[in-house]
Amino acid sequence: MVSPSCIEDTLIIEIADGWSAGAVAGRLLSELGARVVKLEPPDGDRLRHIGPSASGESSTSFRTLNTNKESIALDIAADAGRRTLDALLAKCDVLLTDQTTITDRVPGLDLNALTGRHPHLVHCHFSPFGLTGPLAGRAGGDLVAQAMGGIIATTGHPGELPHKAGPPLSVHNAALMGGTSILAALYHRTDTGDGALIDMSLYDGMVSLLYTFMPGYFISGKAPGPQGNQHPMAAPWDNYPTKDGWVIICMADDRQWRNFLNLIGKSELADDPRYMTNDERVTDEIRPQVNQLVIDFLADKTTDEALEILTEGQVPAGPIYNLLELMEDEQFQSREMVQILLDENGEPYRTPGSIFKMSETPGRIYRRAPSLDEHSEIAS
Amino acid sequence: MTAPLTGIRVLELGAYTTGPLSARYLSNLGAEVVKVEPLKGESIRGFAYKIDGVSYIFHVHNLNKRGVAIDTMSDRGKDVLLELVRTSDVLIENFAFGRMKSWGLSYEDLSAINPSLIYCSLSGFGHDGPYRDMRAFDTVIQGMAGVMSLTGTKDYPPTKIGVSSADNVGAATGTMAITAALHHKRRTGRGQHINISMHDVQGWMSSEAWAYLDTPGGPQRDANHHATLAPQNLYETADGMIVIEVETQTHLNGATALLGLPNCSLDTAKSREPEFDDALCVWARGTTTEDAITTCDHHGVPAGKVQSMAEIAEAPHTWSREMLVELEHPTSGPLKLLGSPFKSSQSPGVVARTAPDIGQHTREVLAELLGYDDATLKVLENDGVIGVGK
Repeated sequence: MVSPSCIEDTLIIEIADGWSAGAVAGRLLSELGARVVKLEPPDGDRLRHIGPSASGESSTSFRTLNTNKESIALDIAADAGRRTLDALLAKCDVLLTDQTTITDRVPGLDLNALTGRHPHLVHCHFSPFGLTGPLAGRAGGDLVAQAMGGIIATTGHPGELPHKAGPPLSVHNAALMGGTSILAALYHRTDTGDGALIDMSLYDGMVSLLYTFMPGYFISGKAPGPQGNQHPMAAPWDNYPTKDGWVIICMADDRQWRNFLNLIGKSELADDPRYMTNDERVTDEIRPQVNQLVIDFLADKTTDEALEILTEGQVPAGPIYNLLELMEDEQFQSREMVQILLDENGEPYRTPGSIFKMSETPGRIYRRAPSLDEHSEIAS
Repeated sequence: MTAPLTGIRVLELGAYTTGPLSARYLSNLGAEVVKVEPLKGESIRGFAYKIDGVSYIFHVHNLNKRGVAIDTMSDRGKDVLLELVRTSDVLIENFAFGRMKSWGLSYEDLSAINPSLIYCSLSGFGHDGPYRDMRAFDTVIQGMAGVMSLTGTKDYPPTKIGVSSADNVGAATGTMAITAALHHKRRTGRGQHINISMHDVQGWMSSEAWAYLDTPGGPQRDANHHATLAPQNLYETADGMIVIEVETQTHLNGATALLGLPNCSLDTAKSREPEFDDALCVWARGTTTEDAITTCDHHGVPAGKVQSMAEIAEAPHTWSREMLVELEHPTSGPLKLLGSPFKSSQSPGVVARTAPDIGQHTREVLAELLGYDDATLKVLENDGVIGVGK
């Protein structure tokens, strides 16, 4: 029997091209049971046309992202297309829009005019800086949001040029926050009948992650630079060399520190006031000393040997995997996080399983990504 | 305006980041959060950078909440907790797998007394699978989920994202799942167990790069470049650093016009990346950050300054959006804290009060929700079952 869904009978129109927060949010809501119709330009979402493609048609990235969705091609810059969109909005529950996509397809479109006739609609507009404030309307995507939002300045190695989070962090983060906001607004709508305009900004989402650096900055005025792999509020915490690679070790509290001292046979240091508490270990003076203890301990061990000993000794530690290793990882597979689907030409492609593991209404992957305008009957 | 989750009651049995953060997000949407702490307070109160003995980060994660201190390891304390469970819609916990069960507080235990309870577990690897017993922290998760392998330059080992990506994005996933489960609960009257894995979520975040799994060597980290789009990179200006991010043909047309270079189609621009980078490096060095961004804006090319924590904390946009707010703490004075990212015409997001002292609201909450009278509270306090603050 197929499990029930969280949000049944919910129709979503998505106007969000590329690997954008709106498109990621549409995918997430589809996993929870919504019917998501992607409204593409006549020549298709630009993501269809860039990057590797198994069958020479739509890109693999497009398929990975837009699994579960249906597709209509519609020129919303033309009057006829706009009328069709208006008719669709009357029928649907949620509209997802993305600033870059709207600007690209219909420069100057008045969003309020678009939705004003449909007060039942929950409309979530994703943009780099939001609909209000001095930077409202400025252009940008994931990279600009990571730069302006403090992610780049703190990622990388001290003394080197900083760099972005490799994955599109600001996009996925905003998709989850926007998705949450949409579900809350729909919940509220059941009581009131009123829709909502949700103003989801990638920048706001990034600022929400700066809690790691706020304490140091607001208390001691320290504006952090690139962090390497250390943690500003806990030590020892880094990737450390082993005989054959690296191991990540994260000691967040004094208990884990004592566990580590027991492992290296230096439990007497647990009462040494220089290292006793995390407050001392994070200082610029002491941090290199405790790091050296870890480095010495690992010098004669392979990554596998180190991980076995550390795990046994209750010290949080892990290996560093690349994506090929992630695909083979037994935990990731056990959680069904890699799904193989067949595209419309019968070629296999990978897409992530649902991150929503729920006992009654698990997130579901149920439909291959659509070919362009495959579901045009929805618009007729 | 009414916040959308007004009237939803959340019980938080968390420590550190993911549980407390997920509960705070729900409070931003209007839910009423009761944070249950042991009598000595939860662990993150002891993190570095303290104000009056309490870590600043505790204040950031726990605003809006009412705080209750209970010795839930004692039989009587556990009974108090179970009574709170009966009155709650949602329970959030982020203990290591197995801990809640060892205390008799597993989903099975608690759904038996409250079948409509939405019980959200946030853990490093989830509550099933071969790694469920592994201890995990943010950087371990980023490493094991492939995120670090995509972050950094080829000259350095894999690099973590500076912020705690696994913690925050994991917490946001729990929040979205809980909000979805509220719909199911209203329709059916049934709760459920939500079993979020930070490792799943970071792996999911890497999925844009999965398209390159079948290319030689697989997906690679390449600093600030995008795998398929160009130009996208970080450039040094005369007085700082900017990024330029071309995502559409219109952006690309603007970039080539700005540089006086021949145009091309978006799907072929990546092959000209070195040419674009060279031209943009030279151009950026000869201009200030402010002028560079104005010029890019004029040409319709997305650009942004690489802002530091200090610049973000000073930026009028941050305060205009109320992403930083200043709240007056009753004893520690004004604190700069995080606002709500959930802004809608229904509600600007709730930011109502500073984080609680240990047990600050024990009396208030147990009286209001469970009907305890003063005499009962006094006995529980004297017997060390509850803590009632200063």
